[in-house]
Formats: sequence, structure tokens, C-alpha cells
Amino acid sequence: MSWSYDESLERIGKHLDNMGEIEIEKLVREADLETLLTETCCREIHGAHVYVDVSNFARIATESVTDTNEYKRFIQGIHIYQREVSRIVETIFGGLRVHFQGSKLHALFYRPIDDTQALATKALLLLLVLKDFVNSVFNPSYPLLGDFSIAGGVDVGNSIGTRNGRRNDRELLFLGACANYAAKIISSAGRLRVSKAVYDALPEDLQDLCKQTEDDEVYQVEAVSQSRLDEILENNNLDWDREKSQERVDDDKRAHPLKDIEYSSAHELIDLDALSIWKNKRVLAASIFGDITGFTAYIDGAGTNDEKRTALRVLHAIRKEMATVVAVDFNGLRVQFQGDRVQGLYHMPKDEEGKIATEAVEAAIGLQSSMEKTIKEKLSDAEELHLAVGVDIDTTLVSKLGTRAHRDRICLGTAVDNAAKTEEKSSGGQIGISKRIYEALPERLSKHFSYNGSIGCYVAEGLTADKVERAAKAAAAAGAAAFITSNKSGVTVTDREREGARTIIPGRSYAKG
Amino acid sequence: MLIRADYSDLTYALNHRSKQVFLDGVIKLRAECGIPTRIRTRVMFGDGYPGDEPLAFEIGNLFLHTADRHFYSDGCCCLWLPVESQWKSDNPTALHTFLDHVSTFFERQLIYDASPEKQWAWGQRGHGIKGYLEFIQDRLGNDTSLIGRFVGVLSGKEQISPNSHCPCLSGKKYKSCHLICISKLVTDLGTQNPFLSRSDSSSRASAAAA
Repeated sequence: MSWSYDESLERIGKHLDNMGEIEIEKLVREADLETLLTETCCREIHGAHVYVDVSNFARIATESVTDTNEYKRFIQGIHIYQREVSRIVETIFGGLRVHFQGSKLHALFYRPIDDTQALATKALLLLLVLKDFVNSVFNPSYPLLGDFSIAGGVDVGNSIGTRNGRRNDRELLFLGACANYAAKIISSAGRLRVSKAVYDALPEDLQDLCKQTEDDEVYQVEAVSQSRLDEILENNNLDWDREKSQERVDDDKRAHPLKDIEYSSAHELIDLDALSIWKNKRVLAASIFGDITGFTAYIDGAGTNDEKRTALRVLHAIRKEMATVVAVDFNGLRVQFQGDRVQGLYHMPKDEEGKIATEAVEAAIGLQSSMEKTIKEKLSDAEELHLAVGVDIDTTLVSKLGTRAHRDRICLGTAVDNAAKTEEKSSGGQIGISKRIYEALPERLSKHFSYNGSIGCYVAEGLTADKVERAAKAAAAAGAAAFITSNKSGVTVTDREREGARTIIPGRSYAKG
Repeated sequence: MLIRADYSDLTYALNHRSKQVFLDGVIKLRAECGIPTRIRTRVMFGDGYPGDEPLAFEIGNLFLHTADRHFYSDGCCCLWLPVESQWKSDNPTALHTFLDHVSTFFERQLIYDASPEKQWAWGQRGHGIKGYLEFIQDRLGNDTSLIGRFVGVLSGKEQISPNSHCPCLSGKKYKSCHLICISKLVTDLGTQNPFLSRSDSSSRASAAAA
């Protein structure tokens, strides 16, 4: 599998030609965003973005799960956790469950329209309810799994809602500072946090639950007793009942018995949409995350509707190209879009760590090549944008979990978390890889990476397909032939014989000194 | 015609002041994956052309114009040691071949930038006199002591009788050993012979002998 400049250029052009006019209007009345939003039908949405993560999930996945039954219990547990969390978000709170990114929930409150106080209130109370649910319902239901520890973040403001792809590949995407910031302020220590904008919008009694952190823009939500939480929920007409939650979890456990949950290795490329709680895959896989650095600032800086339309056009072109590089140019799976970030997975050939790592890193180089060479040639507006990529490899659970209507492709494992974190720590134009990936690479690739202590991984800067190709030619010896072909697209010089090539023996370069 | 077909982004132009014709434009180098790099290029033809080889310049400042990258400060490409010039003025496609060498020279610049070890593909000569000494050493073979033994004859200050023992200490007569090789070397080096008596040539020769 390989990346080609001409093919990349052609498909970006085709996508742009077929994209159609993008329409962005302010969302002024309640609507089902799942049906309203498309690639070209976009809405500016005032809302509260909520991220809730199981902050110790990776540790539980590696330390508590040692045998087959525990692994099945782990799958059942995460599945049932997601089902109940989705019900709480959608049925109890009337919010939109955007998706799960692994164990991390992204939800949005946008109803009632433009009522910032109501939106902030719901978002804050969702954090408290989910923490209570995990502590009083979920963890006691799974005494053999390590206790889940919840961390959450909320921000409120305007974002642009859009949607990618078609049919099975469609996902909601929200772009803008508040959608990003909510995820950024999640504390890893199992804390719940809200932005200053959320704090300012809350009624006084809820503000009292929040304490300013060292960062003036972030407030920490203090723990509340169950009776106090119930009282607050009642005052806000939110009907969450922990006993009913417990009943639903028990029902789900009965409906999804461990004996019916299967997981197996994969001898061919996984069909993600054929997976379910009953059918899971556990594979040695390289996870890859590619994020457009600077995109949030770019779209937030777009003042006029025309500028916003241009920014969305750029996003859709990059997003689609990233997905194609991951899944078509290289033999991988495009797992999910997370805003302006793409998640991919490489697991073939089965258990061959060196080949899997090589494919994933070549895909990372393909992503950088598209971003720096073809996207920018087609879209001058993308000039300031770059891609940060993170890659790691380890055993990974691959599944499709959640409620019937909203099942998310999900990859769980330390490599998934680590690849995501590596990408977040990398700058635009960098590819960050773990030590394990580095050591599995052939020398022609590994020589482009060097250890970066501040990120804690191996990093290559500005590495594109042409550079890898050229570095491989550096060993061409004095007196060896060079082969030259030319046509209207340019001149190609190689150190390997090619059909129709002219042959020269390059002179040894000199300088008078 | 060949140049128009293979180097279509280079066109002939005339400097009205100097009345000199030159080739000007872009050499578009494509990696095998297709990524192009556009290199602004000018090829100047001196009064001695086509007997003398043309000079190629990189005029877009894409590369650092330093001796370590085999450039003069004005962007002129040091394609080869003059004595190793591959310019064949009697070849009707000489200019086309010259452009192939220029393209390969630019490709080497890109390889140099891409390789973490900063390697120079297809070999290079040392700067200044060092390059000539390497060239002479290549002609004389692996024995690094030979240059010192032949300094006198290479500098023209010493004559060796064909029937004398060869200075290489092989025990053979000079005419049966290094005579032809040294004579050809002196002819090929011509005025570029670093041992010829220019103001600094004796010190260079002593350094080489040492």
C-alpha cells in the first residue's frame, strides 16, 4: 500500500467539485440534529458541550482483566455503562449523545435554544449524576472489575454542527472552541470541571458547588451528598432515580449474559459494522490519531458566513482525505472522526508487529503528505493548518457498542489512549510514535525519528513520502548509475533501473572551497 | 526538441545587454510518489560554448548556497571536478545530458536534506585541492604513499628515466610500471594540476607529500 500525489490530488479535486454549496444558519428552533445536519447543511449551535471520561479505564483494562471470563465481563461492563449513560443523557436530560470516543462520552445540550443558564445547569447536573451513577450503581454491579473513576469537563458557547460522509460512515461533528475546551479541561485525577463561561451562567445555588482552580478559567465541581443531589435534581425537574438506573443495569446484564459474548482474533481486515456486544475482536493493533492543529482557532476566527463556509469546506476536504489515506491508501480501518481529528487502526497481517507498525507509520507519513502537499495545493486557505499524528501499538479490543440506534465503533486498550495522548502532545507537522513502534520499524523509517524528552516519545518533523523515498537513495555510491525519466509532469531521478529511463553516471560533486 | 520535450519548463532567453543566450525556468523534480519540487534554474553559455561546458545556477534560493552543498555563493552548481567534467561538446545531445546531470545534482540536494545522516548520494570530492588529491589518488590506486613518491614528476620538477626503477618501489622499471599512468594524469590535469608551480603550489605539494 502506498500514497500517491496524483491520486490524492485527483480525489481531493473530485470531492471539492462534488461538495456543493455549504449553508450555515443559526439554529433557532428545536430540531433533530441527527437528521438535520449534513456535510453541507450546517448550523451554528449555542450549547453546552460535556465530556465525561473513565479516567482510570486504561489501567482497569490492563490490570484487572487477566482471563477469558474477566475479559467478557469487561466487554459487558463497558457496553452496559455506555447504554445507561446514553439513556441518562438522552432520556433523562434530553441531551444529545454525540458519541463515545473509547470510554469518553461527548454530549451536547442545546435545548432550550439559547438559554445559557438552563444549558449550563443541565450540563453540570449531568456530571454529578454520572459520578453518582458510577459510584452507587455501576461500580457495585461490577465488583470484580476495578472501580471506574469519572472525570468530566463542560464548556458553553457557540459551535458549528456538521456531519460527515454517508450511510454507515456518518458522524456528527462540532467545531469551535467550546467543543474542544470541554475535553481539554478534564482532569486526569477523576475530577469534574467546568469553564468560567459555565460557572458564570449557573444559578447561584449551583455556583456554590464550584470552586475556582489555580487556572482562573476553570472551576472544579465539589462532591455533593446523594440527598443534596436528589434535591437539586428535583428543583430542576430532572427525574433521575438511582434505583431505576440499577434496575436497567440489572436488566441489561441479564439480557447480555457473559456466555453469549464472544471475542476472537482477526485473520482478515475487521468489518467494523459487523461487530456488536456479541461479536468482538481482540487484536494486536496500531492505533493512529491525526488532528488538524490550529483548526479550532481558524474556525473561531472566521467572522463572516463566507469565511465559515470556507473553513468548513477545508475541514470536509481534509477529513475525507484523511479517511481515504487511512483506509484506502493503507490497509487500515477508519474508526471515528472526533471533531477535526481522525482515529484509525492497523491490525494486519495478524500478529506481525513489524509489518503492522510499518503500515501505521507509513499511513502517518501519507497523512502528512496529503496535508502538506496536496490539500494545500488545492486549498490555499489551508496554508496555516498542519497535522499532528500519534501512533502506538498493543493488544486492542475492537467492537461496536451502545444502544441500538447509536452504536459507536470503539477501540479500547492502552495503545489507543497512548496514541491519542501522543498526538495531543505533538505539534503540527510532527509524527509521534511510542518506543514499541519505533523498535518495530525498519531502519529506513526509524532513522527519521528521534527521541523527544518533552513529549516522551520518538518524533519525526515534517516527514512526507518524498523525504522517506529520497533518504533511501542517500546510500547511492560513487560510480553507480542514476536513471532519469521525464515528461510534462517533471523529471524523476532514481537509483534503480526503470523502463525507458536514460542512464548517466553522476559526477562526484565538487567545490573549490 | 529533446530539451523541449524533457525540460519543457526551461526556455531560451536573451540578455539584451550582454547579448548572451541563456536557458531559464524551472526544473520540476518529481519523487516517485509524485510530489514535485520546483527548482528555479538558469543555464548560462559562455563565449567558449560549446567547447566549454555551460554553467548551471539555482536561482530560487531553495538550497543554501555553500561549498558544503557544492554551490558557489551565487548559486552556481559545482557539478564535478573540472578534470572529471562529463561535458562532451562533440555530442549532439550534450546539453540534454548536461541537464540530466543538473537534475541529478538537484536531486542530490533533496536527498541530502531528506537523509537524517546528511549523506551525499553518488559520491563527492573534497573541497579545493583535496578534491584533486582524491582524484589523483583514485588514479594511482589504494596505496596512499604513492602521491608523495610521484610529487616531483607530477610537479614537473623531476624527470624519471623510463628505465629507472619506478618510485613506487615495485622493483619494476618505470616504463613498465607507472609511466603511462603518470603521463596520462599529467595530461588530464593540464593546467588544473595542483602540483604545478603556482605561488602556493609548493606548499600544497609538500602538504600532499607529507
